[in-house]
Amino acid sequence: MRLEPLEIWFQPAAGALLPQLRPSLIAAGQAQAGASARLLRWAITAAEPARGLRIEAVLVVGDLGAAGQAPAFDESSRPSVASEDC
Amino acid sequence: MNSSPPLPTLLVIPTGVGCEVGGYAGDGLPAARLLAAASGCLVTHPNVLNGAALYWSDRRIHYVEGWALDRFACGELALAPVAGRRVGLLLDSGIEPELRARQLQAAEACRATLGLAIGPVLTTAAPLGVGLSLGPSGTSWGTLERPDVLLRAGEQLVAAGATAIAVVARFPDDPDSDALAAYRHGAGVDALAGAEAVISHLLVQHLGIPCAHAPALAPLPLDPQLDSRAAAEELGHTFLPCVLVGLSRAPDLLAPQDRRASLRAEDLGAVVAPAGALGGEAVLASVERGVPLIAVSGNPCLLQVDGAALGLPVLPAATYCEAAGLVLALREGLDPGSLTRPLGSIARIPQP
Repeated sequence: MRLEPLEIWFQPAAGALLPQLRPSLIAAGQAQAGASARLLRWAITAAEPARGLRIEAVLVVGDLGAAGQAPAFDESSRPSVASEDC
Repeated sequence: MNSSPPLPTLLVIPTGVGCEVGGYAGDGLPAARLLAAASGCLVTHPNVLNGAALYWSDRRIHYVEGWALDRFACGELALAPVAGRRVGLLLDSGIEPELRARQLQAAEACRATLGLAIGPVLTTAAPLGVGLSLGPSGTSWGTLERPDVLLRAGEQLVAAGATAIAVVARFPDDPDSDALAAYRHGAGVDALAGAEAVISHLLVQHLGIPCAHAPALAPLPLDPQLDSRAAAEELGHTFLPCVLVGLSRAPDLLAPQDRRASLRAEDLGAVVAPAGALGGEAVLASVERGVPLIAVSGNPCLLQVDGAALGLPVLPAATYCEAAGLVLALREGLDPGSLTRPLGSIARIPQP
């Protein structure tokens, strides 16, 4: 699993933007990073008459996979509240 | 006391884009408090409200992490207020012992002084490896070397009974950078904000519970020229108290059809955002749902993505005071257009 930036320019058609943007972003993300890429965050960061809308996004690529080495509860220095609750 | 029903209002001040109001250390909080009073119900995200050791708890304000806020605005999540919740503390193993002790003492203090339910504490199996970057627009973003370690730790905290997660990651120190100096002097982008958003988005997306982030950083040398908007981050040793307070009453994140939900996207009566930063998912989804968009020109930022650029209808407001007046007008059922001059004529449908 890794994080990856994505930048696209998009020329929207008339009508609502979201139904156009989402599929375009997902397609661009998968073209860049593979079929497992999914959107984590995105925003339109510029609008120019000639080029359209610039969208900057962050992709999550790959799956979490099987659990590896499990993090350990810290017994030595956690707040005293935790000792009542673990 | 306003006798009109609340008008659920969404306040968005995007993270890491250098907003004059809300782009620093919780300096969007006065605007949020005003809009909460005007609307009776405000939904907003942690970086509007988080002022390190400073915070304001208000039952009318719903603390909803940015990824969940977008899903809420899109109608894919609903909210349900809670009496309180148990906040698990997730510490990056990359934090040095002294700095780590400061975080733990902050958590202890929030329990002892505020009575918050905090714990358990979990340390990640490996350092998260936070990296900071700027995007093509100059907005901040960041990455993690080990997102898998973050998510596994989150899973363990949920299994141990946490119903929210405060995560503290070691961020890179860069005390001599021009960017940090500009930020501390009130003229720059919060370089940490983008990476903070990535961390909390990952956790909320994966776990479906409220999560928020506080960075761990070495103390900075005293700067006599410190801008007051950045000052909240230099009052203490950690940024954690505001996160613990916010999460302690953050609403449940539920499926829209869940009968326990009491606040849904279709309940929204207004959305308020900086006039030049209207290109986020929550704003677009709200406008496409027909929610009035109040665009605040008095909160400039790096971006110039305004209503004209996107073809969005907006109610312009010069300041958050004016935005609060518009929210109050909508709450009272007043046509905002009736409050300005010249008074335009009523729209007419032409005869075919």
